[in-house]
Amino acid sequence: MDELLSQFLIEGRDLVAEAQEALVALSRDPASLAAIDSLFRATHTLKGSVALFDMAPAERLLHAAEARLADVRKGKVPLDPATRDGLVAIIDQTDRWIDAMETRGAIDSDAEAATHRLVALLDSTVTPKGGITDAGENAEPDWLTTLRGRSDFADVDMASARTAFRYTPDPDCFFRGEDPLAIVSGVPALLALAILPADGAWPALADCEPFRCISILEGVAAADADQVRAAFRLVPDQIRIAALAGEATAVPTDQGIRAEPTTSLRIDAARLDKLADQSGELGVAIRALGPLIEKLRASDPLLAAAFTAVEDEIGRTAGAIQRSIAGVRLVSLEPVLRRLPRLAREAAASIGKTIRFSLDGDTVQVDKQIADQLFEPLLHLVRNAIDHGIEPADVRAAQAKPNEGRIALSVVQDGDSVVLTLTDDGRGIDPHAIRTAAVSKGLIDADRAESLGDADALRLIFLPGFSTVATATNLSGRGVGMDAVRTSVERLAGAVAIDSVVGEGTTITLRLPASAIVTPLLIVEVGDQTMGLRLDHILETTRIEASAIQRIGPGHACVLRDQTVPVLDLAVLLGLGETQDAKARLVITDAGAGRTALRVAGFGERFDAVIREAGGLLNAVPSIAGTTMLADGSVLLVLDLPEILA
Amino acid sequence: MNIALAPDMILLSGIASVEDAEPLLAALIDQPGCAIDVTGLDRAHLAIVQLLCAAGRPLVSKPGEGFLRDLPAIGLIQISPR
Amino acid sequence: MTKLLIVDDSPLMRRLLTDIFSAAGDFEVAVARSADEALRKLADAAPDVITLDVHMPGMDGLACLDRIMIERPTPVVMVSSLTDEGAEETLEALALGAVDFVPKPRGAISLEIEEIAAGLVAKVRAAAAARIPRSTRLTERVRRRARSPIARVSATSPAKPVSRRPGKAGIDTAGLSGIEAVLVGVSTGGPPALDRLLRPIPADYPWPIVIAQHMPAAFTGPLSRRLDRTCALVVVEIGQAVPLEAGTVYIGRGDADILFSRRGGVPHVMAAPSDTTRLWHPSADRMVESARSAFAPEALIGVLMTGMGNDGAAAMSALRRDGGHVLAQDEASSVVWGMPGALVAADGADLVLPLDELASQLLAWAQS
Repeated sequence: MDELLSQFLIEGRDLVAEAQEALVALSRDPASLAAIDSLFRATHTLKGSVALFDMAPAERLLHAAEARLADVRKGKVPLDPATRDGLVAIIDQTDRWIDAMETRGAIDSDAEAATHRLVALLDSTVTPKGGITDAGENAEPDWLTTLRGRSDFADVDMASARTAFRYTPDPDCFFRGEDPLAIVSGVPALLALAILPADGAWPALADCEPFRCISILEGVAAADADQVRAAFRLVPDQIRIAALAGEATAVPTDQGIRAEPTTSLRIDAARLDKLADQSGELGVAIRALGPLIEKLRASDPLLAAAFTAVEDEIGRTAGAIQRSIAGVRLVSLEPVLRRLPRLAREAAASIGKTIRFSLDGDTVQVDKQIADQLFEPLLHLVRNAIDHGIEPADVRAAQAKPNEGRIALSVVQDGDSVVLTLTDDGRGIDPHAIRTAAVSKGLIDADRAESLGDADALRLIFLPGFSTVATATNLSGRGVGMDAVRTSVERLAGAVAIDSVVGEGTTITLRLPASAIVTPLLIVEVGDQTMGLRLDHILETTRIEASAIQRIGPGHACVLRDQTVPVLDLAVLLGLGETQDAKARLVITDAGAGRTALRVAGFGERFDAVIREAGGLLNAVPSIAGTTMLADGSVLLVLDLPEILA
Repeated sequence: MNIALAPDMILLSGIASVEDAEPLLAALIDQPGCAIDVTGLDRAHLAIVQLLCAAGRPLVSKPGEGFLRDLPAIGLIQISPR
Repeated sequence: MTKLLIVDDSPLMRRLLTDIFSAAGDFEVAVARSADEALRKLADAAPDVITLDVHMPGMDGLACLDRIMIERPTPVVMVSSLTDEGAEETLEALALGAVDFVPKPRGAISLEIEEIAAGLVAKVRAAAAARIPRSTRLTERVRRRARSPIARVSATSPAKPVSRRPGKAGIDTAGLSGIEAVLVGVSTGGPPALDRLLRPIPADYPWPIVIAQHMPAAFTGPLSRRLDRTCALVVVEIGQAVPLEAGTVYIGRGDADILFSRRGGVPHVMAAPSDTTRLWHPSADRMVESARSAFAPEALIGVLMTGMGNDGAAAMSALRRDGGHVLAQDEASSVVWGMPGALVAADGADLVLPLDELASQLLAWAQS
């Protein structure tokens, strides 16, 4: 959830700024409905946001502000300067807590007190009763004096008592599932406890409400005030705690005010993506220098050589920038993995199986895109293992396997790759059953199935439309099979492998690049197909009249910027027939020997792709550099222009 | 929690959770003057304990056993040894 | 795949909701940052279900909902904060045609988020399959708007369905006597359905009506006040133990259960801490079971209305088997036919009636 926090830091500050703007507007025009609405909305959204984090005092504080603003909007109370000051103080406090969340991951320990004070300040603007502040910070509160004199506590060894508390549970607390006695039993080194009637005397039984808490609990403990406070952390507003003699009274610290200087800076991921895009474009722009320098070389070779040196320098720097940005995009895989054990246990419990899920391996950093998109396929694999792999308890017992199914995920960095290995000790996958199922589903014919080795037969489960279980279960979901896992992994330029021994278990290995190497592509139409070209191979694109292409000897050429450039029809090169349009669309490239114009049928969009090296069948086709997955899941072939033009 | 009635005695046993407060209240109102035996009571929710306090009746138990063993509730009503 | 459109102005909430629904695996998620964007995306995204935040800059959630219901009626689940104001707005949204609501997720960094997520996903899944309540039709809404919200329907209201549809097939016209309480269980789609159930019932109705409407605690107070304004009956939220009175509607407090008890021989109803072994609260099953400990089965009428899940079906079918009287809302008029469907499947209902005829039957039974 660390990403949620960073999102919160960005959004929270925006909302604080919005609220502050509205407050400034209200100081000029206290009746401005637009400003009140804006302030209300910002406060409301902030409240919802802080509720997601361990910031309960902030939520209470903003709730008070929101409630007041709701009354203002309904015209119940005016927005006078005192109220506005109270709201300004609340928004400022919230801003400080957001800083604290960033620097320390938690709000100040005195947040409760601050909330108390600020809410009282806001309340005092409508009900001028002078506030509820404890009279005299250092004077002993009345309840403590009473507690000291309590005859029930006479037997207690007060010399060892270090902390006294008075817990006034909310009368409705039973309805929230709270048992104040259970909370009190969490107080360390509790010496004595008194259960007292909240109204001074116990009511007659006939007047008792059985589900209303009518008690106050007072006690003393031999533990420090901080330890006692920790026991009551869920009910901070219902507890008074006092350090007893011998303990120095806590001195309020100012640690919250001066934030630690931070060396890290949080950046919105979208801005980082944009930076990566722009650095890619820089690389493309630099490529345009080459042809100009060539032109210059004819008239001034010395100047051209100087330009070339500068061009190289710019190119190197641009490459370094791209690598730095790729490095910044690396994030820990841990937040993704952290969610799995719990989800696995729950998934197992939901179908009455028990498992032990172990997670080990290095702290691995991967590209943000991979961290974002790896969770779903991993979760799917884990659920599959639980659902189809791990046998029911009675079957396991019969096979002398441990009662709980074992599922292990290991994560290892291997050079530039990250390898995730998911192992279960379940029933394994029977290659014969897979062959039979694939044949009966018409995914493969019987002869071919028989000719497959066991390892290849297992890979059949990655085919679209394959599922060994006749009815989908709730757990593994419907219509999402191993083919979806394979697709997801391949979209991340990764590969998936499977190994299984019947009766002993299954191992699935995902191998992914640690850093996604993004290549800018231009999509072109060639014949009736769509292909990708690497943008760094392209000098420019242009359209000319087809009639301007002239036959020269055995080939064709045209004149571009006073230079004669050979024209090759990409469709012909790939054996797809001839391109015949009145307008010729040309891609000018220097991927071959000298500048060449490639004729294509159309230009598509530019986009950044993770190119996967061509494997399997495509490996045999020399003109294909690799493939990439389009947003719609279809595969785009990326052409190897240097190879084609060689 | 189990509520059993004996002559002059209400016997509570087991684990008393919050929903037991209503039947306990009914039993206390219906059986005025009965003492309460909490020897068999293993754990009790505050909703139960505060009713015992409000009833103000003698509680019977073995010292140091049952629902109060984890809580040194010295300020609670006197417990007479059984 | 269910196509879900998340409408929320907070990137944090959009991200959290997107994460939750993407992890569920069967949702295709699109997001909109504002009401305007949501309306623009409505045609292209063609969502099966929409989650809608109430508070947004520009056009707010309620106005957006209104437009959605006119332009492309789609099941909408409101994402509400659990405050009084949030409750009022949400109830208004339900009256405008929203199928259901979910509380705004909280405590994302705590472990509970997984549990919250499960509830959220279940509700939105159910909503995607829900019938959009009839009251969303334009004419219906115009009529609803025209009615003064504080006008109390008099006991002699000409709109009384009994007189409008005398002897309508399906209605049991024989009166009942000795009834102590009418017990209503209802969930998804409940608030507008309760409005239509209670409106035709006059103030001098002879029996108390006790309602378990699944809801968070912050909502049942506003719901009670809203129904009290629109109905002839007195509507109160159940709190401390009070004696049951004729002509009064008792709405079970949210996140708590309903308990009956005889105090000094007088039947009382009270709120009790929720029984955590049950999924939904106030629990209709527990309400009926508790009523059985205070009353004879023949003295009870059970009514199970629109809602997901099966709460109430077990206890009400047992009630009928033992001599009680049980009605189920029919499928066509239910937003989600879960609870009444389960009751009908268990052969637990004497009659299965459209929403409007449930009131007719309760009135017919009371004619003696």
